[in-house]
Amino acid sequence: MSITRMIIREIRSGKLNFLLCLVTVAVACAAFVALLTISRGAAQSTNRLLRDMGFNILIVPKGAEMARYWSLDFPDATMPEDYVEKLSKSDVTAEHFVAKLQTLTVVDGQKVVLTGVLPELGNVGRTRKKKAPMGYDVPQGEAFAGSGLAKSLKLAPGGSVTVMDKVFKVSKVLPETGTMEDIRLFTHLHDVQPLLDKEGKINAIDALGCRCYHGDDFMGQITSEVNGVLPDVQIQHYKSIAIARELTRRQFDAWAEAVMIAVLALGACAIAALTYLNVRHRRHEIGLLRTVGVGTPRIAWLFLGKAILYALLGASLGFALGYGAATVWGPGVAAGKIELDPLLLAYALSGAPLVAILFGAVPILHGLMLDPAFILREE
Amino acid sequence: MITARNLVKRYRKDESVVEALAGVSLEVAKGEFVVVRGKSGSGKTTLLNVLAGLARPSAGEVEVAGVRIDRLDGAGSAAFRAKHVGVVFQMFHLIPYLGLLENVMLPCMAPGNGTSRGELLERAREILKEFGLAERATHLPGECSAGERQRTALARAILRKPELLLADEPTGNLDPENARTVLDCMKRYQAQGGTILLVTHHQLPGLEDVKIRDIEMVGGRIAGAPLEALAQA
Repeated sequence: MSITRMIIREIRSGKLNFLLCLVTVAVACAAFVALLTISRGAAQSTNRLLRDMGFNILIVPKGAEMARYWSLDFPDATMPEDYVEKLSKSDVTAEHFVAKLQTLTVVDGQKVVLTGVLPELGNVGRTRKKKAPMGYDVPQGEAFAGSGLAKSLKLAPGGSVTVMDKVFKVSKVLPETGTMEDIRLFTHLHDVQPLLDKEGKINAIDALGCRCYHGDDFMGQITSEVNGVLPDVQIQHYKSIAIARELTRRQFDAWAEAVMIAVLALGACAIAALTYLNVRHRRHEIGLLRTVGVGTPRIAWLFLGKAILYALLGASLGFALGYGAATVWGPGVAAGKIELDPLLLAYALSGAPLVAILFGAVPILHGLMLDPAFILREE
Repeated sequence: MITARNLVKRYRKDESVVEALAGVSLEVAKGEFVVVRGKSGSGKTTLLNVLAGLARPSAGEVEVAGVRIDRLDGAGSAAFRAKHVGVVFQMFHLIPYLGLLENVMLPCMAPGNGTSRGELLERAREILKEFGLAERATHLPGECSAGERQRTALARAILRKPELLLADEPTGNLDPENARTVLDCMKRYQAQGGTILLVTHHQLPGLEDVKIRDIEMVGGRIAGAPLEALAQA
């Protein structure tokens, strides 16, 4: 009589106990898979949203007057151009660094914000993962015109515009944004610096704050990190909606985490209770096996083997149910696409038996420690 | 086969201590059929459990089949039972979800003594046939009578040809006819060289034709000289 055969026979004779255990594991795994999948979907959708909203961090010189910035959209003070390179090589939780030098000028009676930009630098310090650029890569001698500017100055791709006695070839007209961007003329930073007599200087760095800040004090963390690299700058976070979105996502994450913990705890307790009932119901069997000379490790395997079996089946079923639920309800909750992570199946298939063994072990050990002489005298 | 000296077994319950064995000394030779009789609470089942290695004595020495079982740990006593002892209980204790043949084969789960599984399966079938259970081999215990279940339990106990068979009230739940059948099976086991120690608190019909040693236990001790055979009492 092999252990496997005994396990199968016992399951066939006690289907209810096995089914209850299997359903418990399946529900716990389904909740785990569904919540984690939706949570990841929500994180991805937040990432996309943050990216679509553009830069959300502005780094300006410490002495810059922000009232001027908010009225003109650029500060008066300057800082060294190499600050952007320092930041990109640091460990700050931000990416897509774009150095800018801006000034307000007039072209043919039209106010123009002349904006010299450098091609953006990724965050070399944190990750070398290649990401699509968010800023403009304007070749030297060329210009990208804001839509309002293009309309009033009648600029079109292939044409030219003269600013502060320098002629730029208009290579692109940008789509309308309804913001100050519409009257900007983007050029290469190194074209603008000589015009303003500010070689090697910039007056702002745009960046995209990472959503991976710890805690709720985004501003505090990023300010502290940036000032750790560049002590003489100040930081503005000017996309508060991004923070709100991130906070909402974190609230969902926290809720999902609490539900997952509760479901796993309840599932573990249910497994312990069901295993206890099974062991208690089969205590004569334990006593008998010990009497015929079967060692306690082999007897333990009768119960552990069953636990592993229902845990594996329950995890597989739970994974399918959880992924199904995430596919049906996830897009609505996460506001994004739900993607299947095959690793979750591996986690479920390895985690569920572990939980079943851990929480089944106590009642099993308790059963094995009972005095067989005492058990076998019971009617 | 059995040498026990001054066996003491105490059970602690709450504040009180119960002395189930109060200095039992016993010698049983190979091939003997010993009947231990006594009232409920006299210590006879405790004696059987100690001889089976299911309970450790609080004091005293006990040697069974050349093994000092009072010195064995849990794994050691399990291995000892697998090799030397078969035990039969009043309540049969068959596993309800296994057929009779599978119940008889249960000792195969314990470490072997060199006999192959195929040989044991063959022997299990022979014993079931000898005990009149060949047709019931695949039946579950719940589908069988009390006598059939007890014969199955006996078949399980002797599957590996243990030197010692310990039986605790093996006929306690049986009608006289089934009790006689079970005792006949035990007699056949003894006739093949086995040693039997049987504990009971009531009359055992069917042992008239076999030489038995009758021992009575009172208050955890063996009382006086061996009595007459129970059947003649």
